[in-house]
Amino acid sequence: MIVARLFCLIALALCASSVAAQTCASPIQITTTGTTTGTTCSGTSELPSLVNGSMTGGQQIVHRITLTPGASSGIQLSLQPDAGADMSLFVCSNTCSPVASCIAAVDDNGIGGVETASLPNTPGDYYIIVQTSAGGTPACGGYALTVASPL
Amino acid sequence: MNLIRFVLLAAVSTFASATWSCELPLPFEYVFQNNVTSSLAGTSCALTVSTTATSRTTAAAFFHYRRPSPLTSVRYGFRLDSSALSTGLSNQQVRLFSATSPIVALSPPTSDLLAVELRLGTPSSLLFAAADASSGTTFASVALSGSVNTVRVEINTGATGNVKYWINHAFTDPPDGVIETTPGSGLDNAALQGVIGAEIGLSNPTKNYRALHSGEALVFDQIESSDDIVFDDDFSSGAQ
Repeated sequence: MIVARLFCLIALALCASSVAAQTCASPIQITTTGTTTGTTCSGTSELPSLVNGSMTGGQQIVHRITLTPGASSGIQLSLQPDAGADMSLFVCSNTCSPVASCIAAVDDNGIGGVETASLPNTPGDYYIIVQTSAGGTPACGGYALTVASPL
Repeated sequence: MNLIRFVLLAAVSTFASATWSCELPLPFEYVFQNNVTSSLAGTSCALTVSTTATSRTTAAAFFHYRRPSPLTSVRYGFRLDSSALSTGLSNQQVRLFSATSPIVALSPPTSDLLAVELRLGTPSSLLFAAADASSGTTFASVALSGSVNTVRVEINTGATGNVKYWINHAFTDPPDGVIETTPGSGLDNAALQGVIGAEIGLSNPTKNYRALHSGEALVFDQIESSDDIVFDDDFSSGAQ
């Protein structure tokens, strides 16, 4: 019984964090290698455009990775949308804003296709933005964001 | 005064572009390229860019820059040669220019004070989309009579702001159009504070544009701006 309650509390906490912590002001902080799952259906269009206003899209979930000196070099990110969803992946340094210095803007594949990007070797904050590609159907969906190397 | 400013710009541009094979126009010092075929050529840094068969929504190549604080009045200009584009329909559209606010505001939310898009058709047209608190965005559409056009814009920010545009005319001429909520009333874009950055080039190609115009180049050159800011390299880690 206690185990079941603990499980429920943990599940609630995880659910709450994935819903609330997804914006520039409160991004999902990724601290370890592995896979983070989420859904753009709970995202916002907080950044109606990216890369100095040039790239528009749909609902977004904002993650953050903080690279410290000594972190692995060339950390690979991969974004696997759920079947039927089409997503793009942005990596922006320093700030989370429409005029952020984005160092990757990836939408190489269509519905259900994996998008990949790598982080530079420079320590600092990097905002990893998962966005439903404009014009996609359905308009949002689930995804798995994987960090391949130790942070 | 303007002559002095542009002479100064040219001089500083030569200095700032020492590591490039062309003289990048100030204040546009950085080219973002992603999933397109693009090149810079000539002393004027003409940007030639075309989508490819594998281009998708993030396909882009453009000059851009960002300044430390927003400007409430600023001008930009560029020449676009779209003569390599085959004819198309209005669902084939690509962004050519945007002037960006430091914040997101208005409803629906936007950070673009002004976006200019090329919409294909017979004839093709330029679509100006100006942020406006009363409607979210106020549009102006201008049919193009040729395939080489010089576009100039002036963005004025405030409760009675506006956007002026010139097509194949100089800034010293009367504008070809003024974008306002209603004629003479201006438009309210004060919440966006002003222009903190801008980009000129190809981005946001629609699905039909990508499908039907792969390999067809747009050429951007003769870029000008009234913003003569000289700043530290803020884009040293750009994607290429």
